[in-house]
Amino acid sequence: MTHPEAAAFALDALDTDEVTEFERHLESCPACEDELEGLQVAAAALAFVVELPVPRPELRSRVVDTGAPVVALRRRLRPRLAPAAAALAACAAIVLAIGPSRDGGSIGGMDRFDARGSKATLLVGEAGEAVLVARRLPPPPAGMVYEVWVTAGGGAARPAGELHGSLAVLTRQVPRGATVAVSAEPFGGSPRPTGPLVLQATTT
Amino acid sequence: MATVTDFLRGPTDSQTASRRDLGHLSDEALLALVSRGDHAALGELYDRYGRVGYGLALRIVRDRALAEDAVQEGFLAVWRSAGTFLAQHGKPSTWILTLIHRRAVDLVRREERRRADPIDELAQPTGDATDEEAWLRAQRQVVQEALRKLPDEQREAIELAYYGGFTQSELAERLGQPLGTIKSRMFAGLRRLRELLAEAGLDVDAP
Repeated sequence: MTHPEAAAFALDALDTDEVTEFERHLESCPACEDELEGLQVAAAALAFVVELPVPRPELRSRVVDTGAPVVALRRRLRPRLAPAAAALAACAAIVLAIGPSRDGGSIGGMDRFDARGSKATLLVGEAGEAVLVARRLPPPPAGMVYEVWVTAGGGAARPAGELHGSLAVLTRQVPRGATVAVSAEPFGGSPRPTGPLVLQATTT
Repeated sequence: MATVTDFLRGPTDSQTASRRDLGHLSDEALLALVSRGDHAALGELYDRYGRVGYGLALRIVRDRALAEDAVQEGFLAVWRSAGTFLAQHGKPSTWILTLIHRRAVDLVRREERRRADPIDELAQPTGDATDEEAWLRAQRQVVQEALRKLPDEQREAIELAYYGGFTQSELAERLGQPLGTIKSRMFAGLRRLRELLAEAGLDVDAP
């Protein structure tokens, strides 16, 4: 016997408490689970009856960016010193420690990669030691931290430290061509990414 | 497969090419790619269901910005849970539209923006039909026809719940009926709708 709430659930017509209760029921009721699938197909079919105005083209990029606002890190060719300094103001102490350089795409001997729109800057030293500055990220959700990942040579993403404020000193080397990513993880970090990527950048 | 760099370059030749390639993939295959972090596959799923999802969200929230939020949040949920969903063997299009619907209903309940007049407009043909793809028009026709075959009170309960974002308790109050009656109307109606759609051979997946 199917639970009487199954149709209301498929139509999203339950309030929060009723949803919780029905989901609990669902876990122990294969009959409801089977029935629900068909009811959900019928409910979703109702979507095809509405007017279909064409969404703004921006929505597509919002959706695709949603998954991971991916930013391109590009070797900085002709940095202008003033904006560069302003961009790095968020981590003034580090800039001073590394020392700004007039020399093209590097700071203190580290190669500098910049995202368009200054969302992120990655500094990579000769031995692959790296510092990531991620700007404009919202604070992580409560109980979460931003963990940094390095993926190199087609391998799995490996943990490389956490962002503190907008800054992470990576605990793992970043070889040329590697991808550096950031995801929100439960406090204490995870052995591999479980949260959505909030930033992903390649160093090509 | 499109790389991060391809994606960032915007609609270049290489991305157009990769989109064309993805067009041959099933929704399930696209979800498998999405679960591995493939943005181009997410884009392809958007191209298939984004417009329907947007129309649905707009119908519910009646506000362009809120509708866009619902679509974006729905696809964010797709991005996050594609792997989990694949393990459950459901129908991708149903799942995607369900996620967007849920977000839109959440938004409209939060905003108290909901409007109560969905019924009359529903059967109206949609604005400019010429720019719609044939499969969308065909889908609409089948679903409209099936809806028309439902008893009025069942159709009313279903439409108010699905397009109006009302909870069953709100519907009971609004329609002056016992909650049990509303539940049975929705249940009987949705079940019948499912049968009618199956008889009509409806497939809500994009071709």
